[in-house]
Amino acid sequence: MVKGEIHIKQLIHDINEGRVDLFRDIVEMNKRLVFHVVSRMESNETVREDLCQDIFLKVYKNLNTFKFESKLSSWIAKIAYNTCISHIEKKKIPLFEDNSPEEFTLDDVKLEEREPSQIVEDNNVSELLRTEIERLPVQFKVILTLYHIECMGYEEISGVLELPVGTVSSYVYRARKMLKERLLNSYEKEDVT
Amino acid sequence: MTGSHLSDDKIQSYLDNRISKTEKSLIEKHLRSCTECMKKLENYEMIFGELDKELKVDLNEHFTDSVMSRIRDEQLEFESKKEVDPLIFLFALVGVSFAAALVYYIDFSNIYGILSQLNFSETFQQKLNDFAQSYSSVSKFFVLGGIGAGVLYAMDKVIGKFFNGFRG
Repeated sequence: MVKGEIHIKQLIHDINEGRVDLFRDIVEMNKRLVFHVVSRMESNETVREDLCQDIFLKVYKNLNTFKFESKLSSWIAKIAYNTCISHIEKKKIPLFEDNSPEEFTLDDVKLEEREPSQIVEDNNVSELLRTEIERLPVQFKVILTLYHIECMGYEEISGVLELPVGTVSSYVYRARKMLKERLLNSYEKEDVT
Repeated sequence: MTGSHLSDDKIQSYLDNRISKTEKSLIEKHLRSCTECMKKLENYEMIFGELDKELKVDLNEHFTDSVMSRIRDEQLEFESKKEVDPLIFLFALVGVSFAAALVYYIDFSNIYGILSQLNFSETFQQKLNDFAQSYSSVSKFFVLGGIGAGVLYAMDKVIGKFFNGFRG
């Protein structure tokens, strides 16, 4: 067992024994990860912050059920993902309303692969890509974030999202291909105009 | 490899470094002679570069303090419920009183007498009887104390379950 894991184990043990203030370390260590997951699924900044708090509260309440079968960060990412899914389903919040004339619910976002409907005026490729990433289906966005920013492997992501490893790998490839096609599509449209 | 173009999956695997060394050198050889695939690779490099960029974490600077404060608030709420619930105390009181009444009417000397009916030697039986006569009240005190502590401990557990304890 590596030093970091022993530290985490001791930390969790101490928190479960009543040293509540030590939970601050868990929050500090994982708030970036939680924010990344939440920000891919909720666009409203205020709601986003509340969701992040709710997630850490859930983590605290359930910390004594953590069995060290996965990394603590993966377990927290799973709670974050499930909390966001419940939030989206419960509130029927329209997603990507800034980019779309219609309101999209979770089902729409999961199933529908929309074509780009807007030419980004800014010629900056990075800006264009950020816009297109935001327009991806929610699961694709979360998977890409966990893979590229959090550097999680397919198996770890599979545990977080409760999807088969093959599906995760296929989504990673499909999402990036989709981005490439949309990027080229935008270029072509800009060339025409 | 050099005859046909590289697939999207192949280029992505190359950038992910999820291919063998042999495959990698074949791909690189193809890329040197195919501008179309090189262009495709460059597009994917841009996409990978953007995806690797950290998102700006725009959480409130007091985010951690807010989380800790909410945890303490909920814990205090739970603790106060645990302290004042009269129903739980009533149950505990009835439980302890019942245990006390039960113990009071048990004749400990008789219990020791029954034990002495077992196949112990006469000397041992005598010692058991003497002990029972002498320490009946002390035994009752300890048994009563034990039962009382057990009931209170059980009630404490029940409180946790009853309120679906704060720590789940």
